[in-house]
Amino acid sequence: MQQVEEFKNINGLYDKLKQAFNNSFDINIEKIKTTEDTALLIYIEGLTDKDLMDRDIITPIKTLDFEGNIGNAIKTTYKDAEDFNDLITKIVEGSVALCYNGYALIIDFRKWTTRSVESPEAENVTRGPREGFNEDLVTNTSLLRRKIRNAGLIFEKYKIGRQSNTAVVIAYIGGVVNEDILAKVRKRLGEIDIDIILESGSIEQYIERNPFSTVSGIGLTQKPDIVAARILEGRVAIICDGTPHVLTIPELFIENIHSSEDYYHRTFFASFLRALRMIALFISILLPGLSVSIINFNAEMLPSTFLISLVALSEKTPFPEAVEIFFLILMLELLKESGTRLPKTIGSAVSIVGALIIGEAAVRAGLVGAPTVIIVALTAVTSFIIPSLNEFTTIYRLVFLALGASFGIIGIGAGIAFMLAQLSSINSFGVPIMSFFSKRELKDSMIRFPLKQLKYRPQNIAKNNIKRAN
Amino acid sequence: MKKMFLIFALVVIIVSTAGCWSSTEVKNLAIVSSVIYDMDDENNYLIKLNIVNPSAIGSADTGGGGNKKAGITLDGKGKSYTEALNDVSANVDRRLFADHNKVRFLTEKVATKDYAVINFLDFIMRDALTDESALFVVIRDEDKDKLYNSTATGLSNLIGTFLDELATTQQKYCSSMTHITTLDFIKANYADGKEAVAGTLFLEETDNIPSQNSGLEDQEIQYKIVYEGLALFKDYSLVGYMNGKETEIYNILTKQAKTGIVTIPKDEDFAALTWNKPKAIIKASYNGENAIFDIKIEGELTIDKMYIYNTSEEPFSDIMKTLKKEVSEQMKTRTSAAITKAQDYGSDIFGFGAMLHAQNPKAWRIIASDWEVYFKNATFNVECDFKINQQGEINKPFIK
Repeated sequence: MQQVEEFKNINGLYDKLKQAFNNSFDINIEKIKTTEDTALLIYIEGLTDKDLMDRDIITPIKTLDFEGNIGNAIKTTYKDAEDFNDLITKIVEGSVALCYNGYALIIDFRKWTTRSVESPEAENVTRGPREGFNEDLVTNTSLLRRKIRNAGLIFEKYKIGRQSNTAVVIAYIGGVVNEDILAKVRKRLGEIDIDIILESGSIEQYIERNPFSTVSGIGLTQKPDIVAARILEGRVAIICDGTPHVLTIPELFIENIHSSEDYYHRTFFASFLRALRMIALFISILLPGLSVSIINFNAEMLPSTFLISLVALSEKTPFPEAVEIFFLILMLELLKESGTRLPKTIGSAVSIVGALIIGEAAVRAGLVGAPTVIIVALTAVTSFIIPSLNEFTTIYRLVFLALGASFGIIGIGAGIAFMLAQLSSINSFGVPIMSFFSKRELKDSMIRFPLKQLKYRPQNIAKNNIKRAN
Repeated sequence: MKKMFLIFALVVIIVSTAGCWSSTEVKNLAIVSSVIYDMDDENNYLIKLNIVNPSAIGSADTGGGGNKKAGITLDGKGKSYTEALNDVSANVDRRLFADHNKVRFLTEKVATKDYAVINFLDFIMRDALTDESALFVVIRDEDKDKLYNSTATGLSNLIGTFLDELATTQQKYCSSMTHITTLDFIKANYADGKEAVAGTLFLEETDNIPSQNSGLEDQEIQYKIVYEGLALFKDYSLVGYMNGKETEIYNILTKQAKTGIVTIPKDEDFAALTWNKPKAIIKASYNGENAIFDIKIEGELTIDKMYIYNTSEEPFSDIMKTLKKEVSEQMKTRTSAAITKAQDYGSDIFGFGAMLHAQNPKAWRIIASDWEVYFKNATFNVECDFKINQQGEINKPFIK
């Protein structure tokens, strides 16, 4: 317990604090008369547990037994504020400050309302833990700590945002983490110069080096089990206060088709699901473009019977096939967007209007052919299978549609070459995101080998400590 | 700089190779189902296209079927087939699309006329986008007008689809028909020591018409297609036909046959057996004067019907031996007859010349130029050996 000269004059301190907080209504600065001198209690309304404060701070110092030894009187632990600025910072963070006779005690009675730990809607699983992160940083770190009870789990705290002073924590396992990646993450976090951080998405965009790419190489999840597994592979996680979305760095492209359930299911089914997601990815990107190119340029490839019914169905529609598909894709995106924004109860109404009425009516009215609806519907269904690649698939789908409609199969082929080249050129924190073609990593990429055989961490990520089992 | 150059190169390659000008909307296609190539007496080339009417076939949604005809027929005339095609194009509001053409019919007139077949093949080969998988069939001159207007098409909508499906699915079970595509015909014309054949059909009047998908009225249909037999070519010209039974022998000798039925008459009734898995082993040799071919046909037999042979006096094993012998004897006679017929036409459709070439190249070099003469005089020693493998014994047979 240390006495600081500038805190000695209680009345002067009171005025100084009032001035510092500009009379903000939620900052309570209360003078408390004791048997000895006057004490000053400062706390933020709504961030403090008032019951505890009454019981452990106010009651003890207001008794007649109080003899002026404030440190002994209050019934809780505390820290000392070093100077006036430190005092302000701690108060803003939500701590209670008690000033008395030159002492300034900082007491952590922080309590505020948070959402409870719920299952994240975007990452539903049929098997495995359901719990997800919420907006509270400490809850999030505790969820992670509960998964990895190991002193090696390190949380490093940063404050980012000139005005907001948002707490951002990087989590990693000492000894396992790739030091190069960790150093890069620290450096790039330090370089962020911004007023306020509201979501980890802003951090993601500040620390990535491929702003014009459709994939960032940074993973995003709301589930503690996924973050735990990833940091145990040598990755770094970034947890940001105020958002349930946690970043994991780096993320390989193939990991988009992985799911936490893959490791909980048995080998064959898990591998089947991965293959299914891979097919879904290709369908989602290529189907509209490929079908237009085949229908317009290579009708001989279609079975005769299908071609005849295709002609029969499309001869009554006014627009070219490519325009029809583009029109429907546009409608699909509109429906997706309005479905996300609307309240759940109205959301189902939108899907009924969109899918049934517009789809059916468009066909009946002869605006689009039924095959086009099938193509776009299949595209839509598959695009929901890999939500993490939503941006990638949406953009490339349109690119391939344009290429297929104007250049046919050759255009599609060139597009695929360009896409692969672009993906291969991206590296995330020094790790190329397409680097999963080594012998060891293939055991856990397109298919998943039995868990017993997955003895190694990904080589490119956990550079030095790649063996995890004997 | 290098990057920019590569992107530029990529764009140039796409634009120059993609052929974006050949893009066609499917709704602008007139899908050709089958074609009859014909000629008239003034040496005009005639073409008759059977074009799919999609809205008549269509799908359930378009309310297809009904009274609409499944196909429309368009005629063209010109001094060449190209001109004839252009003549057709002038009468149709969509782009002719022949990549789904199922059958090419050649009339007897074209097939027998000097140079007509060569001109036809030349026309086919010069078109870069020819679909060579279409069936190649010779039709009688009198049938060409009836084919599209008054012929039953089974469960299919169009003659083209009907024949294509028929030849593809039924050839396995019915050795009297062939599956000869345009490509097969072209290849046979290029081959050395083998003459070309084509499938053939004739129309038979019938009263018994099953319900039709073609959209033709019942009273319009008077004929059914009999797709069996072979058309024999020699030097790009049709020389004759083989009937269904002879075609079976052709299929056995060219290793395309799978199964067939043989009947043995006795006392005004027949015993019937199914032969399958036939194997023809042909040894070719040349003795300095004549080409000699030792043909051995082996196969398996299944008994279908044999009551007439059931006599209590004879033991069962003896009946089997008799049946086996009779079948082998009959197949031997039929084989010899079929070969003799081809010899008479001077058309080596079986490819004996090619076999001699493969087995005895030195001899072939001597006689290749006069192969037709040598073929006509060649000796064929035919031997047939069929074994009864399945006696139909699941349980105790009715006849022992």
